[in-house]
Amino acid sequence: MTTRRQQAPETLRAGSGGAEEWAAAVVKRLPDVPTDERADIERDLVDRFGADSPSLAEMHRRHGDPVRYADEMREGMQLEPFPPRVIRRRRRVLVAAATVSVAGVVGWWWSNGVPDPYPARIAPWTFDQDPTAPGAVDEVGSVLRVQVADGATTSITFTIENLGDDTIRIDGMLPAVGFRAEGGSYTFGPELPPVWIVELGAIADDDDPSTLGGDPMISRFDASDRWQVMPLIISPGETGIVAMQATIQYCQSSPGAITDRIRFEATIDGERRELDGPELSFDLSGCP
Amino acid sequence: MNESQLRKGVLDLAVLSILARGESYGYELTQDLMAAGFDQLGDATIYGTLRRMEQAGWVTSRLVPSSDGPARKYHSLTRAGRASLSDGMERWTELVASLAALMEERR
Repeated sequence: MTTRRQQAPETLRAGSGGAEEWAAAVVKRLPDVPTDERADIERDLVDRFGADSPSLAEMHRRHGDPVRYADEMREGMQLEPFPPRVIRRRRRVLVAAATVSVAGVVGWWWSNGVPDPYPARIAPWTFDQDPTAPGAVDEVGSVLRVQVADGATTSITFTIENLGDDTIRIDGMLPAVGFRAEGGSYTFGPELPPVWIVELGAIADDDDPSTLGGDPMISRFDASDRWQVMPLIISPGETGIVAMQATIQYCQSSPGAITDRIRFEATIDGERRELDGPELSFDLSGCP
Repeated sequence: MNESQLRKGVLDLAVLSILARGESYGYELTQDLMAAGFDQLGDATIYGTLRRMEQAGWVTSRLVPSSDGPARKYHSLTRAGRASLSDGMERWTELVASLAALMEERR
């Protein structure tokens, strides 16, 4: 298995280029718009939002998730929702089993339906929560709920096994973040501070891997944003690991949680596909 | 019935109506729409709507330098846009009349 970095994380952390990265992520979600118009939209967004050379994290804070922005643009442009996956071959839908262990002490299996018919198993995942904290991790239906306090860091590791005949290229993660509080639903906008910052990593088979969760094969990319271009090639029969580290930025006194449906954006047999992972819920009511 | 869905259905008419009063830029247009009750709409939806209208030839735009930020893109109606607004208003009036008649029958 080979892993290639398309972009050094340092460039994402720098104070410039964030608008370009963000705009590129928006137009990536508009594949059915003519190329010249996509380029025009990308330029336009950079012109509108990039005047003060914001970082990518700043772009997220101000304008939200580029995926959400693109989907709303599609609505305004009266385009169909983001193109559904093209299913060229009907394959059986596998149920992926996931193992969740807490600091190596608490563990359980969790089953997750994988809507994408491509046979890929996304399992297991590992939390590094403190197992002694009461109610730190809970399973509610298909949602794994993690209670965290302001500033707490949680690491989650996904293992993706390629059970098909084609090479999977994991291009990135598309976490759709929502927010619940007092029974209402809210959308993150530029007026709200970032709720969490995620570092993504991918398995490395060569030199200089740092460790995460004790696995010497995992390299931490240390990117400071939720959305990261991260090519990871998984050949048939092989396994790739994606690690995500989230730091909660604040807590609140009222009941509320962030929910996050993890999706992996992938290229399989030349087609853009999405592999759906499970849903996470981070309880934010752990104010000291 | 979801009010935000109802409003989205007439978003084009609302945008065209605002632009019929004079040219406007994105933020100003958004504020006008919010004041008219379209407060569920995000910047992206309005931006996408304006781009679609520009592609359709209903709206044209020009960049105007701004002293307190990036250049503003002012949008204004074209002749085709005015015709579309006029046509839309006519159909809207008919629709409202039809609906009013139906509701009257229920009384």
